[in-house]
Order: sequence, then C-alpha cells, then structure tokens
Amino acid sequence: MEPTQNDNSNNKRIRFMLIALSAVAIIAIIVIVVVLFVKNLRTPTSPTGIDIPAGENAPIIPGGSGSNTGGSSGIDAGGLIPEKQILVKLWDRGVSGYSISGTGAEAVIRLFDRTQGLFAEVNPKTGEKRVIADKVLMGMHDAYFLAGDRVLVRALDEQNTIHTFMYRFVVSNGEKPYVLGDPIALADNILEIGVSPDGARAAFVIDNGDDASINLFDAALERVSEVAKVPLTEWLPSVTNDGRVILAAKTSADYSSGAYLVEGGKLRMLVPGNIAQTVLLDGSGETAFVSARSGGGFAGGFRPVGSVAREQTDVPFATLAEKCAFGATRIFCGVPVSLPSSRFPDLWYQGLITTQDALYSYDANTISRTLIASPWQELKINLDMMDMKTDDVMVYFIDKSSGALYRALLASSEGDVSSNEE
Amino acid sequence: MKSTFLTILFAVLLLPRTTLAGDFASITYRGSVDPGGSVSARVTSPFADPGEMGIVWYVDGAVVARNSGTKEQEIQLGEVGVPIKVTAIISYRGAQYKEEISVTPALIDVLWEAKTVVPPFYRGKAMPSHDGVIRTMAIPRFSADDSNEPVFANFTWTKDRVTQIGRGVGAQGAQFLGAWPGRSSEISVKAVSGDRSIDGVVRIGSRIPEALFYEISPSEGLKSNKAFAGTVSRSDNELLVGLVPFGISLSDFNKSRIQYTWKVGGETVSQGDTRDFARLKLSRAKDPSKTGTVKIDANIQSTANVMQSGDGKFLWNFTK
Repeated sequence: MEPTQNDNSNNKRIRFMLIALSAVAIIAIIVIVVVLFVKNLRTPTSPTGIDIPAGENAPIIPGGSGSNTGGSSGIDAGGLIPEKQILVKLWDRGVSGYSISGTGAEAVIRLFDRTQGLFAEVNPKTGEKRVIADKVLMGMHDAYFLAGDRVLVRALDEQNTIHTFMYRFVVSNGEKPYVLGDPIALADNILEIGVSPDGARAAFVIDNGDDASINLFDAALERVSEVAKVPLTEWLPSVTNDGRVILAAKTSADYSSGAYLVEGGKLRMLVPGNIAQTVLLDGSGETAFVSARSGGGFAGGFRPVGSVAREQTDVPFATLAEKCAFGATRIFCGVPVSLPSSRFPDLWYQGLITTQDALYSYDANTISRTLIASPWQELKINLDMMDMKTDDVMVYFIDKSSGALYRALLASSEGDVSSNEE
Repeated sequence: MKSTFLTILFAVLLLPRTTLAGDFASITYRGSVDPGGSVSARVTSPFADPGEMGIVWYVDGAVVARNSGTKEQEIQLGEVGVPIKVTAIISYRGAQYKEEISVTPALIDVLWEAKTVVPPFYRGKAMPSHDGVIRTMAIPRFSADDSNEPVFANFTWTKDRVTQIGRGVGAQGAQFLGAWPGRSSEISVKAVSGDRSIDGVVRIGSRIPEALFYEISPSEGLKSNKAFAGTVSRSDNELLVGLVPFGISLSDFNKSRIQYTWKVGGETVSQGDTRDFARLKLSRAKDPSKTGTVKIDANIQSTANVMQSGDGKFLWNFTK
C-alpha cells in the first residue's frame, strides 16, 4: 500500500520534532558545562566540594575603611639603618607571618602584625615601612603569604575551632595601601600550613576528628585537593616548588621525628623516624637537615632525602631544625648558647623556656661554620630565633618572645662586611 | 675377598665428604634488620650439641668467619630491600651440613599521638595521660626502590606483648588507652608483605596533666608563645590569665568534664567547669604605688576520671 500524503507529513513532523529536541538538549548541555566552568573559576570550592559564597563566615573587620591605614599612623619611614649594620630590628612586635617579596635590591618584606591587625611592607635595607592593606584584621592568629598577592589568615573562635580565610590584595593602580578583597573561607581546623618556597602552593593538615586530611592548595587556581587521609594529625607540612607534599612528624623530648612523602594517597618514608628529633627539608625536598638527641645534648646533620641508609654529614652545632633555613649553598641556623637537659623541645613549644641564640651559617661543601650575628654581644638582647627565611642576601627571623622581626645582613661575595669568623 | 674388602674400605675413606642439606639444623638471628646495621646469627639443632660443631659462615657466597657452634656470628646488613644470603656449612662427626637463610633489611616507623589538650596552634606533641586515647600509625619500608614497595602490608598490633589491638591487611593504625602515670605501654607491630617482614616497637609513657598559664590579650587572644612560669613581673593593673589543661583527655575536655579551681594568695577565688580554656582576671591593689608578689594556683580535675588531674602555679610580681 503506498504511503499517503498525510503519512508523509506526519513523518516529516516527527522527524523535525526529534531534531529540534536533540538540538535543544545539546544546547542545554553546552550551557550547563560553560556555567559550571565559569563558576569554578570564580568561586573556589571547599574540600567538600560545596561552593562558599564570598563573604560568608568572614571574620570581623572593624569599620569599612578600617583604621591605622596609611603611612602616617605612627609607623616610621625612611632610612634609619646604618648601611653596614648587620643585625637590625625591622618590626617591633607581633609579627606572625611574613614573606620575602622580590629579589636582591628590590626585596621587600611583607608581614602581618597580629597585635594591630596590620599588613605592612618593610624595606630591609632602608627600614622604610608602609601599610599595604586598607583594612585591619583584629583577632587573627597568623598569616601565610602566597604568590599572586594572596594571603591565608587563621583565627581561633571561642569554641577553639580554627578558621582559615584567603584574602587577595587588590592592586588597582599599583598605589598602596591595596584594597583587601573579600575573604574566602577555607576548611575549618587547618592545624598546620606549609607554603612552597615560590608561594605558588600550600599544604594543609586538617583535623577531621577521627583522622586528618592532607590537602594541597593551588594559589593561582584557588583550588584545594585532598592528597591523603591519615590516622594521625601531628604533622608539620612542607611543599616543594613542584608540588610534592612532605610531612615531618611533630616531636617531643622522648620521641623522634621522621619525614614522609605523600604519594598516591600514602606516606613513604624519606627520613626514618629513629634518627631525627626535628627535620627541615630544603625547597627541592632533596636534602634534609635533622637534629637529634645525642648524649646529653643535641646534634645536627645533613642527609639526602629518600635514602634510608645511615649516611649523614654532621654539623658542628646543636639546634632545632625549626630554627634554621636553607639558602642556595648554605644553611642558616639560630643556635642556642645552651640547651636544657630535659623535656626539650617540649618546654620550648609550650613557651615555658626561651633560648638565647646566635646566628650561624654552615656550608656543607666547604665544611665551614661562620658566625653571622650574636645578638647578646652586639645589642645586649636575648633573641629566641624562629621562622627563619633567607634570600642569600639577608637572613630574617622572628624573636619568639616578642614577635619582633629581625634581619641579618650576610657578607658580600667580596668578603665579610663585619662578621666574626670562627 | 679380603683384598676386595680392603679396597672398598680404602675407597670409602678416601671419598670426598658430601655436604648434606636438610633439617639437621637451622639458622636463626636476632636483632633489628635496620639497613646498614647488623644481626647476630647462630645455628641451632635438635640433633647435635653446638659445642661439637664447626661452622664456616658465608655471606653472599664469601667466607666471613669460621667458628665453633656455640658462637654467634655478626652479619652486616646492606641497603633496605637488598636481601643477604647467609650460609652456614656445619661440620659434625665427619658429616657436613648446609643451612641457608635470607635476611632482607627493612625499616618501620611507629608513630603515635595522644588525643589530649594542647595550647592552640601548638607545634609540639600532645602528651599521653592515663586513660587518654592514643592512636598509632606504622609506616614500613621494605624496598629502596619505590616501585617495589608493596601496596598493602599485613599488620598485627600488640600492646604490652599480650593484648592484640589491631590486625589486618592495610591496618596501618591502632588505638588504645594510656597507661597509669609514670608507667609506659609497649606497642609492637609486625608488618608482613610476601616473604618480607619487619617488627617495630615503641614505648609510650604516661604523664600527669599540668596547668599551663598564658596571658589573654584583647587583640591577640591567648598568647601561647610565652607561658607564665616561676615569677612573672608585670606592671599591669589587670592581667587576664588563661589556663590550658595540658595533657587532659580531649574527650573529657570537649564534654565539659573538667573542673577548675583557682586560688590567689592561697584562697579559692573561682571554681567551675567550662568547655573553653578557663580564665581568671587578676587585679592589683587600687594603689598603683603598691608592689608585691602573689601566688596563683590552679587545679584541674576530670569529673569522669580521678587520674585525669593536675595543677600548676606561678608568682605574679606586680611592679610599678
């Protein structure tokens, strides 16, 4: 039987409707994909994958314009530092996070002063200071500066929950103070943060209660990804510039530390725990400085990371790895004049004791030790050095007692400026 | 006939001795199989008196020692994951026997943490206390080459050599309660992967909790970088002091089961429980010209566990 004209029309109609429906479905899928993609660019997600609107759970920011802004609110400016002075105090107190921005003659120090809630920059050569954010953040505990004008800030609430926020300094026309952008809330209870030497990444240890999440934060993408879940929470994380997360176990007087690489969701032993009390890794993650109890005191040494054999190059001083920083060819350490015989470093962590430190450098290639600065001899003050950083032009550290930030000028390549060599 | 017999006897006596392998004896060793370390090997046998044995020791085919059966032989170990073949050629009453074992250096770290109270943002380890929860984690290393590391090992956890507290494939962690103050718990773990195994042990001592005092500042909150201890000289008219019950069970703390008692100059001024760190405002005499010293005491006590208690003190020297 031949199809009728009616049948042909119906078929054409049905075919047209199917094509139209298919086209609509394809367009809808494309739109959804584009929306999700754009949304991810703008709004960083928490580790749980839930979008957090900017401004939610933001900490208290007193006033809209803030206070203590500008360079005239009692902050010194201008060259107060004698050119050749080695040891200089850059900021008086309350520094709870800083970074070295720029290199060589252009280097400036960005810092967070928690007593005033200020973000500021200091020129380490001239001592010139300026506030760099248009708002103050009171009640914050510490800050971690990242690349791209970003900063992570932590605060503790009355229920002892740690809250962490990311801020951006909005650089509109290059003039300071910058606008402090709206905060983005990250996961609660980020116990420890480690920032890569280039500031591009940060590693988090997050306390989940029953276990811990180890997360890697990409500053440019503003994205967090979980790299491992482990039963324990007591880790000091570090990140190499190529994104490897390394965990050093927290230590106490009766217990040794070790260092472990996070790989494939598991921990792989890099530095065995039976040899180290404290561990510091260099930026590449290839060399570790370890210190351990030896006899009645401490001993330190370098060892290649990843080799679980016993080779170690000893250094002729005893200190905690946390008082040290790796330079390009040397390690710089605050070395206590004396160490207590028991319950160390626990008493130091608890704040029950302070150490009186001198600043040394050590070159593993030439096996030479150099005294860079002795605060007691030079300034008649005791300094308990921690949070040390260097750009191989200067060494920076915070005094644990006061929170003051210091810098020590290193000898030039032509010879010592005025250091005391041993 | 007689000459044939003598010929045969002569031949038998001149035949080279053959080495018999089998279950005559076995090699055992003791000591940790740390890479670069050593173990002590010895031969044991149910059939022979060790004092009558002569032993030639070989390591990877090279002679390392010849000694009597009663002596242990130290065997040097190499890199992690690189097996060493230990061979003993035993001479006993005219016969020779060959025994062999393989020893593979391995490492294991046994980590632990106590779920007890620490100051905020604390970078040290929490302290174990009686009946406080302690969690463990084992990280073995069987191979120098990461590609040869096993994906999973079989773990067995034991407390004080008696109580099994965990086992299974991938059972990398375990949990138990802290010992009495001043005592230790011995935690051992065995990790097995194929024919490789490693034992680890750690002793975890319990301590008595203690009260740590920190200034509470309006701008900074609890200033946990510096604790009050000994004599604290301050000219402030008021001092807000926070108390951290260091070493108290976190579970008891979170459930507000901690009772605090403050004393100033020997007199009780405050008592109560709180889920937060307890705090006390100290005010000096109204006359700012008056100076002096006052003792501040605090006691912390869990209402759920009488052994979860501690105290602390410092002297406030208020100056001009």
